[in-house]
Formats: sequence, structure tokens, C-alpha cells
Amino acid sequence: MANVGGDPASMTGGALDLHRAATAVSATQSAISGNGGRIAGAVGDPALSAAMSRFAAAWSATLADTGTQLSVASQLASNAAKDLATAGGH
Amino acid sequence: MGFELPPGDPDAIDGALRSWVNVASDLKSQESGARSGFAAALATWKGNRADDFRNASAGLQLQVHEAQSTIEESVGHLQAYSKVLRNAIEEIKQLQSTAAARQNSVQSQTAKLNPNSTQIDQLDQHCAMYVAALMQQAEVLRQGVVTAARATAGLIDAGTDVAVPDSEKLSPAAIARRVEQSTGVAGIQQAISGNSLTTGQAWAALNSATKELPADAVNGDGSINSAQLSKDLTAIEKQEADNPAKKALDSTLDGWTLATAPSSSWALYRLAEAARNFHNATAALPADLAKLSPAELDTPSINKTPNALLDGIERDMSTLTPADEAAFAADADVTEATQSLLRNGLPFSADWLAKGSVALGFLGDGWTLFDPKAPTDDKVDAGVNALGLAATTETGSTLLAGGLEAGGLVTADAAVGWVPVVGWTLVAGTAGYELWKHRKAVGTFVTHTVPNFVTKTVPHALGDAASGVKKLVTGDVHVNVGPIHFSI
Repeated sequence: MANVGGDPASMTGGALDLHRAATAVSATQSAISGNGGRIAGAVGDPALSAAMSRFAAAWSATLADTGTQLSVASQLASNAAKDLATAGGH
Repeated sequence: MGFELPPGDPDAIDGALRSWVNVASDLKSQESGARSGFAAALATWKGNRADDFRNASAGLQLQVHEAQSTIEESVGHLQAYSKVLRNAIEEIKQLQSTAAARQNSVQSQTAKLNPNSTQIDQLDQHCAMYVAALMQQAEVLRQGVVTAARATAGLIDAGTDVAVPDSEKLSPAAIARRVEQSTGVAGIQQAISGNSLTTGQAWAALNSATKELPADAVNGDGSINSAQLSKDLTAIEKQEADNPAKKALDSTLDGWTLATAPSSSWALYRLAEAARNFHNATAALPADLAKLSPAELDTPSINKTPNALLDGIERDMSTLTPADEAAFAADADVTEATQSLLRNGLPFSADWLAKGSVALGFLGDGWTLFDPKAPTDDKVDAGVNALGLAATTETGSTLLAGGLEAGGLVTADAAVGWVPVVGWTLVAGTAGYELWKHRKAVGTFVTHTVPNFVTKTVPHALGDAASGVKKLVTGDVHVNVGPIHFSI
């Protein structure tokens, strides 16, 4: 297995940052959904209201999945760090 | 008519927009946090999995960036609309106040006159004309709000299309499903919460992000190399320009560029890349089909051994009706793999089953289009995938340019999977078994129906998707956009 390695400490640090980013992004998707609904309800015009509802649905769903993927990335980095620590790092 | 106020609450809009601004600002911080997290994890990590992680990093940063810039843009559009609405409301109230003042004044004047005086009628008539003119001004203001609302809706839809191409005709729930389809992370959050996520699932969950950008546009720390990305896009467009068959795609892309704001060029890049791969892959389909291994394909979503499946197929063939067969007509070319499948009869190995299901995925799309019970969203997806495969036929390929020109075809394909073979594997996984149930009718369809299918059924099924994008390109929405610029 050629050229595989890394510093478990920096990888674990990165994993923690990614976990925080994942949590924050997931919280933002709720804000998009809520605020998007408020705007859709306030604009008055049916076409614009519907467009806002679609917009909020698209970006809320996208960020929900992005948050999940960031969580996964965090977990993968953390697991890789543990594997390297067990194997002796570099 | 009259002095009726336009519907809408500008105070509520502005209040919600203050929170919307905070959302955009938060996403900027989150993008920065993700960038530094990935950079730290990748600083020393070496190996193949580090490379996969790096590519996914850029893809995820792109997703957050797209969300942030699109939401930020939408703030501007909505603020402009709110201003139009607020001004119209205030001016109409002012007009109404002016009309009331005039009416009161005329009443005072006429009260002092002899009731038989002809001046009374004159004053009343002049007053009525004056108030009618003010009402006409109010109507102009209301129409101005409607015009602003429709233009703003078009701009908001353009922002939605960055996440989910060709979304105008979709419900919010259908849009959420499209997102789930394209990211491929369904069920992952539950696995994380239940502490049951496997390593294989984890890497699969990052797959869509890994494919967001070409590898050469990703820096060592996982961030996006915008200069290289710009070069890649230019190269793609040059490739497209050299091929006459791709001219229809060029005009679609140009139209898309005109209709989207500069930061939406991320989506344009993905669209262009999807189109390029779409062209290349459809041209090489017969050879590619022969080379595909089962490991590269999603297996059909059925839990049966090949023998159990064959037994089920034998039983199900007895359910074919004359109406099944009557649904198809006309001569066609077929891919070599499909012909071979039919000559060899039912597959006797998992290997053949996997390969055959790719070809049958195409046929499954045809079945979905004909099935009156299939939902519209499924028909649209089926039509896009089927057109891609039908384009490999002698007749179908000449219709490819026209099909792509509909615009929505390419954007819908980008939503399913921006690498066409990935899209076909999705088709194979979802449609293969249903096709086996109607194998005899399907065989007739394959040998007699493809040109008819491509010229009539697919464009009809995709008509809504195409007109949705065309409206965006040629409608009332105009955005001043120059050449594509990438900025992070």
C-alpha cells in the first residue's frame, strides 16, 4: 500500500471543524424553510409566492443534504485519523 | 378597480428579508468553516481515499457557495419588489386621499349653490372625471406591481434552477425529491443518528459531491481552483462549438447564460459538463454496454436470485394483454446489446441480468411514458433517460440536436446524474424488473418503435420541461450578464 498516511491530530481537528460546519449548515436549512415560507406568504402575488416556495424547498433540501454530507465527511476524517493512529501515523 | 390596494405586505417582506440576509451571512461563515475543516483534514492525509475526500471537499464547498450566493442575490430581487409594492400602496393611498379631498371640496361648493343651478352638474361631472383619472393611475400602479412580481418570480426561479434545473413546473415536494435523487444521501442521516453508518455507505454518500467538479479544478487543500475551472468550461464550450450536432446545445447554453446571473455559472458548468458527457457517452453506447461490468451498475432493486427471477418472469408473461402490444408500433434500430439480449432469450446469469437491465432500463422508460398511471415527474425523467439511449440509434441520433434544443432535456439529465452512465444505472436500478414483466411487448417495442418514440412520445412527455426552460430564456426576464465569470 503505497503513499498512505497522515497526521491523526490534524485530521481529527479537521473532522471537528467539519462536524461544526455540518451542524451549522443543518440549522441554516431550517431557517431557509421558515423564512422562505414567510416571504412567500407576504409577497401577495400568487406566481411570486409559488416561486418563493419552490426556491425555499430547493435550497432547504440541498442544504439539508449538504449538512448530512459534511457530517459524513467529518466521520470519515475522524475514522481515518483513528486508523492511522492505530497503524502508527505517517 | 378604484383605489383597491395591491395584495402583499411590504413590512412583512422586509422583516423576513432581514432574516434572509442573516441566512446568507451565516452560509458565508459556514463555507469558510468547511473550507478550513477540509484543509486541516487534508493537510497531511495521503492516499486514494484522501483524493476522494479532496474532490468531495470541493464539491461540498461549491454547494454551500451556490446556496450562499443564490440566496444573497434573491435578497436584492425581493428588496426591489418590496419597494415597488410599498411605493404602489403609498401612492394609491395618496391618490385615494386626493380624490376624497376633491369630492369633499366639490360637496362644499355645491352646498352653497342654488339647488337648481346648472353649475352643480358641471362641478359634479368635472369631479367624477378627475376621480376617474386618479383611479386610472391607481390601476397603472397595480399593474406595475404585477409586472414586478412576475419578473421577480422569474429571477427567483432562476435561483431555484441552480439547485434543481427546470423546476418551474414542479411542486416543492417534487423539488425536494429531485434534490434527494441528485445527492444520493437518502437514509444516510438516519444511519448517522442510529450510529449504524458503514464506511461503504459513507463514501457512497459523498459520491455526488465528488463529481461536482473536474479533478484538475480542485486544489490540494480541497478548495476550488476557480481559474482552472474557468479554463475547463472554455474548453468544453470550444468542443461543443466544433461539432454541428452540438449547435443546438450551444444555443441552449447561450440562452441559459443570458438568463442566469453570473454566480449561477456554477450550474452552467455542470450543465455543460453533463451535455459533453451526454454526447460522448451516447455516441459510444453500444461498445460501452458490452464493456460494462455488473460491479459498475446498480443492481435492480429486487431481492431475488437469478433463477427465482426467471421463474417469476415466466409466470408474469402470462399477464400480457393485447393492449400491451398495441401500445407500440413502427420500425427501429436497436442497440446491439438489446438485440443480443432478445436473441439469447432470458439471461442465465447475474452478469447478463445486470447488463441487460441497462438496455432494458431504456425500455422501462418507454413503458413509464406509456403507462397512464405513471406520475408526470416519472414520465419526464423517463423521457430524458430514454432519449439519451435512443440517440444511439441511427434515427435517434439525428434527432438528438432537436431534442437537446428543448433545453429541459439536458437540465433534467443534469438533475438525475451529470454523468450519463450514472443516470442510466439509476434507470436500470428502478425500471429493470418492471420491464421483465412485459417482455414480449417490450421486444416488439424495441424492434419496431424507437423512431416513433423519439419523434412523438418523448418530445410530448418533455414538452412541459422544455417550455419551462424556454420561458426562462425567452420570456420577460432579462438579466444583464456578460461572459461567464467565476468568483469565490
